[in-house]
Amino acid sequence: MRRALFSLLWMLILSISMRDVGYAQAPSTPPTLPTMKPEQRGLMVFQQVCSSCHSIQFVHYGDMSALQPSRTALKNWAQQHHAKIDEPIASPYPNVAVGKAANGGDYPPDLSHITRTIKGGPDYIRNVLTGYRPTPPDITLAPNTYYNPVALTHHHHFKMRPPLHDDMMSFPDGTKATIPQMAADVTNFLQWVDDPHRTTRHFIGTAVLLYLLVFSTILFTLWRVIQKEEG
Amino acid sequence: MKPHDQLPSPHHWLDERLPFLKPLCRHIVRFPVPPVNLLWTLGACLIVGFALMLTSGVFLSLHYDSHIEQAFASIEAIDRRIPSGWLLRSFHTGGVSLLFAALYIHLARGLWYGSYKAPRELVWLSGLTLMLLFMVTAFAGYVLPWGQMSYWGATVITHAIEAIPGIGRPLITYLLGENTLGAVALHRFFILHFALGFIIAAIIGLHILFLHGTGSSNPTLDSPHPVHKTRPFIPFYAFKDGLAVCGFLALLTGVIFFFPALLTKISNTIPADPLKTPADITPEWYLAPYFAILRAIPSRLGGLILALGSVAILFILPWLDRSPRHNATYRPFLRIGLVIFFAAFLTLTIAGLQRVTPLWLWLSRGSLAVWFFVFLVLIPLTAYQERHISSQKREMS
Repeated sequence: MRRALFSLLWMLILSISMRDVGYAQAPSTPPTLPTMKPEQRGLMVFQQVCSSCHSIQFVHYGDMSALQPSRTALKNWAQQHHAKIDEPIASPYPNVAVGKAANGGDYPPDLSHITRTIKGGPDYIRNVLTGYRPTPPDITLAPNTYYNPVALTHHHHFKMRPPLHDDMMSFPDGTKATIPQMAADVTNFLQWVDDPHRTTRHFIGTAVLLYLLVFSTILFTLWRVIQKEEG
Repeated sequence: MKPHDQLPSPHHWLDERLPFLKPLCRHIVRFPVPPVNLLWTLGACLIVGFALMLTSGVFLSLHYDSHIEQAFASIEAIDRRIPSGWLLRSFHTGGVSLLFAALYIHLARGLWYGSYKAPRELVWLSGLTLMLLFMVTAFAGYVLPWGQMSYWGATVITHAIEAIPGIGRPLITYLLGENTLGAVALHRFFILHFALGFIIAAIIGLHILFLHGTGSSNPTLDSPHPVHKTRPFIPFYAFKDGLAVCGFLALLTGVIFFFPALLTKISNTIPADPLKTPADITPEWYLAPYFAILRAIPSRLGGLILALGSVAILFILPWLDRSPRHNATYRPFLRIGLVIFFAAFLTLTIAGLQRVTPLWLWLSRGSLAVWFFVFLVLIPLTAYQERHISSQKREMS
């Protein structure tokens, strides 16, 4: 028994040291890029683009630790917005009136549950973000509005200026920051914000159902046994 | 000093101090249950469902903040960052729908098999009281997140109570603590919701006590071959109930973990805004039938009276139906009456969830008429006829 434990320990130590040796011996191989989930890239889009107008007032900066494991990075982000890590991701505007004045009369909505509450859901958000087109010659736009045939408000005269531009940021995982890519990622991120425990919920749900299946099989067997004994 | 082996066992110790404990346990274990079908397992499901609501509710109340400025944010905090808060809340908000579904089927079973009849009137009355308390508790609970639907749903109900002539307005001001639905009212709704949970627990105890006084009703009583054989509750029916509870919990799990959108209203994820009325105010499905009644009557007072009356006639049902027979399967008129009553109840439920259109308005009015017709006309008449037949039979034999 003890011998088996020791050999396991040795294998562990060896494998760790071999890995170090491997890095030391082959410095020429390109460093592997970190893998990122779509919602993690979406968080970057939110930090660099959306958060300059929108709030996620029911989410704290620290809640993002599921997407951004570095606490220092989250602290720094909160500090940029003059907030602490356990404070809400508030609107950059001091009040609604200022927010309206800065955006052609429409207040940028809070994004805490936007994928659920907006008409059309996540698809609508993705389509609006990629839906900006050059203004057709027969249409004259009011000042501070932008032509977006997908947008449902103000007859396509949208008050949100086109937020995304190709290559406006670089993702650490090497994904090319095209407009459709960023729109898809940030939509994923907003769906995560709306329902952050989705994956865990499905996992626990499956576990509970399996438990109930096993438990009811035992109960059913016992019930049958009793029925038979009664005759 | 007594020798070691003669020391009283803890079992003995309790028996001396609570002498009724042993007979009680024996009574529960040997409780004779007649041959009943699967519909009789819903009581056990309801007990487990309610225990789940009470437990999750107590833990949720640790994190809920009933200050009007904090209420919505505290619910969001429970859903997002309180450890396992989302789990507790999904059990609590999803459990209520399953609980009401089981409760309505439990009630329908009582109607169909005549479980309200003598000598089980107390079981029936305590059960109806529980249903009313569940409705009040669920309504109060729905106000607590202080979302759009919480606020506007509560507004509709306060307007309905305001319609009581003379005392309506002062009564509402007294109940809400202010002229409008606001901070004081929200805190009171929280206290009401919390306290009612324990009051319901006590009345469930009474309901079971009353049941154990008379024993379960029996679906075979009126059949040509009645079965009088009973079996002890433990082990046979305990296992059967256990299986049903597993099925009930599997259904609950399936809904709250995989299809939570079925049971949550989108507009309640938006904080309450007294200046912005949502496009359509709909109650939760389990209160929809009564909401449909309120809407179907042009007069507010009339709607309130009929909504309360529709439940009140259930309370006097044991005295409306004086027939010696129980089971609707063997009572042709009652069978038809109950089937159209169930259809009317479902129609009202669906109508209460729709926007007001002339079609739904008239369907609700028709269903309401059916509701009162079945209980006030059809059931007393068929009971009279059946009593007549059975007295003739007695004379002949």
